[in-house]
Amino acid sequence: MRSAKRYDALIIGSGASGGMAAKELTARGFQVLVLEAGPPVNPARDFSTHTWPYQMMYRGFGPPGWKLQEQWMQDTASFYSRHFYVKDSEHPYTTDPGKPFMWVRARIVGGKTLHWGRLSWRLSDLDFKAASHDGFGDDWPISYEELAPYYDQVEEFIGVSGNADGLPHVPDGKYMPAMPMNCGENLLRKGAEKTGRLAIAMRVAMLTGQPKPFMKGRRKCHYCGHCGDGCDVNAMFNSVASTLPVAAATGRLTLRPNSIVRHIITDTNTGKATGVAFVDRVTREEQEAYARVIVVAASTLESTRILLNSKSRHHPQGLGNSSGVLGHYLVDHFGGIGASGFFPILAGRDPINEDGKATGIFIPRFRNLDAKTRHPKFLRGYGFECGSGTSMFPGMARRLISGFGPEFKKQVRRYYTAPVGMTVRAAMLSRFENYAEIDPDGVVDAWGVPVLKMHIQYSDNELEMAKDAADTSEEILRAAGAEVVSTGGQLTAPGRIIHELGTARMGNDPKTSVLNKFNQMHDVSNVFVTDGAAFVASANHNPTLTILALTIRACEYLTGEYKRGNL
Amino acid sequence: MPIRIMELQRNTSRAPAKLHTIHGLLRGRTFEGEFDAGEKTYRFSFAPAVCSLVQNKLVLRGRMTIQSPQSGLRQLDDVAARLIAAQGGVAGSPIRRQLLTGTAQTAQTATSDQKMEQEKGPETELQPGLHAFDSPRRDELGRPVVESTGSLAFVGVLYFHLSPLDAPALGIPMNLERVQLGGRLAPTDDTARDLQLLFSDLVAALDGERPDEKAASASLEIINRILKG
Repeated sequence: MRSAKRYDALIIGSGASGGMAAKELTARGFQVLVLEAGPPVNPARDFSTHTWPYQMMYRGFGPPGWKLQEQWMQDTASFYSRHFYVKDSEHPYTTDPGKPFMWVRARIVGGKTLHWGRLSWRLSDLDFKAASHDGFGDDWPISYEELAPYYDQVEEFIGVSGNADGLPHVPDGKYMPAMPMNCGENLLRKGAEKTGRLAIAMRVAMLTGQPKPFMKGRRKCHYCGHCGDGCDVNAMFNSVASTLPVAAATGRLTLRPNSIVRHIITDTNTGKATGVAFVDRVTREEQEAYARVIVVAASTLESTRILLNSKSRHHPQGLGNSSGVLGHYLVDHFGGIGASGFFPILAGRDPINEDGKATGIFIPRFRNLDAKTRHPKFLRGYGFECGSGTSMFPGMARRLISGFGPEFKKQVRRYYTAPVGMTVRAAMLSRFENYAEIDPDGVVDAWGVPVLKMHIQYSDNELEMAKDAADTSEEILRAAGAEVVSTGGQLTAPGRIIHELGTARMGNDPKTSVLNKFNQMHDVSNVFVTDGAAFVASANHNPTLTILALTIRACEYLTGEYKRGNL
Repeated sequence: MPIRIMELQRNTSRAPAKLHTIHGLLRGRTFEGEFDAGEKTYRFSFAPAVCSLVQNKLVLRGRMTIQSPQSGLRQLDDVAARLIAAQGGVAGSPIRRQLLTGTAQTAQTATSDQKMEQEKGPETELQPGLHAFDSPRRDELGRPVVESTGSLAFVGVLYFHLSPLDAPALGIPMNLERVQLGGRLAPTDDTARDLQLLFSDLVAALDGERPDEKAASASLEIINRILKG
């Protein structure tokens, strides 16, 4: 069964990149079809921003064992937000013994933007040209200067709060006012400075100032602290509130939810893409849709899965894989290492209403910036995400306070503003041997689509970095005057930080990369991959801002090529 | 302006749809779960009675029971489930304990430290993305270890291909010629916990970096003993 219509552009995915591509291409006059694998989202029904625990069965924790049955890999899914995430039972993937990978996925209109962490950092040439800096791996085919104007456009459109801090390796952008630091965070900032490190306000995609005229339906953040459950005032950037409505307003957007793409269809003569084959998630009907250009934005690994599943006579190893690089250079950031404790100076202070600030402070990378900061045991670097205070369920109670009843409650109140924690966000080196492939033993998902098998583990570089981060976090916390309760920890398994990147990387050489510097496939000129799959290296910063900037840039280039008849 | 939703024709094909996957949790010795077919929900259980290695792959054989909303209980015996792949666990691994048989060298006695580890979930209260730091472990070079690897490794899901199932006999209006069973190992009882450890050891012995036939055979022997009750 097929759709008679041939669209100008077909976009796979409606998350950060897919939504931005829809906005950009409809604005440039394209008739666009967006296929989203998951269901539509209805904020009035699906967001539970202001739902109190006592309004929920099991006080919001869900029935015992619910997560183990359906969503054991969806680390950040809570019973409030579980419908934003896939059911692992329907969406398997496989791993090697002892090499776990945690794949957190959102198949829903809006994708992971419905519950993302919102941290919005620009990468710098320390990241784009990392190989030239330290000799490992490959440089990106673009520089910061080339991407900077697109970062400007993204920040202007989505709204990012933050400060201009003047750090060359964390370039400044166009910001709304930063969220203020609380007492504990100011103490931690001073402690970091004592050890020669800086601590800055996190830059987050949340409206802290008056929404601009084009931000229709969006309001200022009111600090309720439930961003991950769906933001009912649209203060946080997501596709559903931001990019997709703007695209729809052009009258040129068609969105089809519940459409699971099996593969990209190619012309048997030319090898160029002509459309996609997809299955309806609900009815399980097999369907096809056609377009002149395909934009693959299904999320890093889903995009690569679709490309690997798109084998044909012209593309026997999968679409765009003449180099054999597709699926390789898989990276994530790692976390799980840090320190936590509490500030005795804040214990006993009257609790104040500061627990809804859904962000904290950041200690930017301080290793391997130059010869003076070079570390003898590892390349690249890491930063710390830090925060102080407590939220609705005071987790510090479990470790700091024992007992029950009135005395327990008294102690919880006593320590309410005192906890402090630091956790690392660290770069992982891009290595060919970390990769995803179509499961060679034929495992499929609930719709019969072949799944991925992940092969990924950390190298000595990451382990040495973790050791340094564990030691440094404790040093900073003690310098800040905190009583340290725990240090060290375990590195998160790859995937858990949900910054999976690479696998269809950009490059100037078609023999060692899948995409050119404009996210266009070397092998098939009318296919663009605009999500995190295009990354050459991970840096140590959250990737979404860069994904959005790359998407705008790719769409600008795509439009020019389309008009010139090159696609 | 509302987003336009794409409409396509309805499929009029009469061929029965394929059931690709079913998913069950290991409870005791039995995988239990449910699946949807033809707008109805069916409960199923697969109770392996014996296991063996065929061409270096684990094969479980046992009884498949389907509870149909219309036809009641239906059973098929000697259903084979051939292990094709596995997924390593991340979250809470099982409490390591001495098997009741007392013969498995790979299962470890639970310690209070290990037990504590099971009981601690991710610490996310302070800020989104923060994680627990309270289980520091170091490798021989003094570096932190990676969760769910090394001595903490375990298998979370076993993916099996089932032998072709007789759909009419089971009362299911779907093509059941090639059904994949996802067997989730999230034990809540001692038998399932023992089996998870043994399946984990078996998978490591068969598909790990250093395949070990002797270890695989030892695990297989104990699994068979447990399956026989």
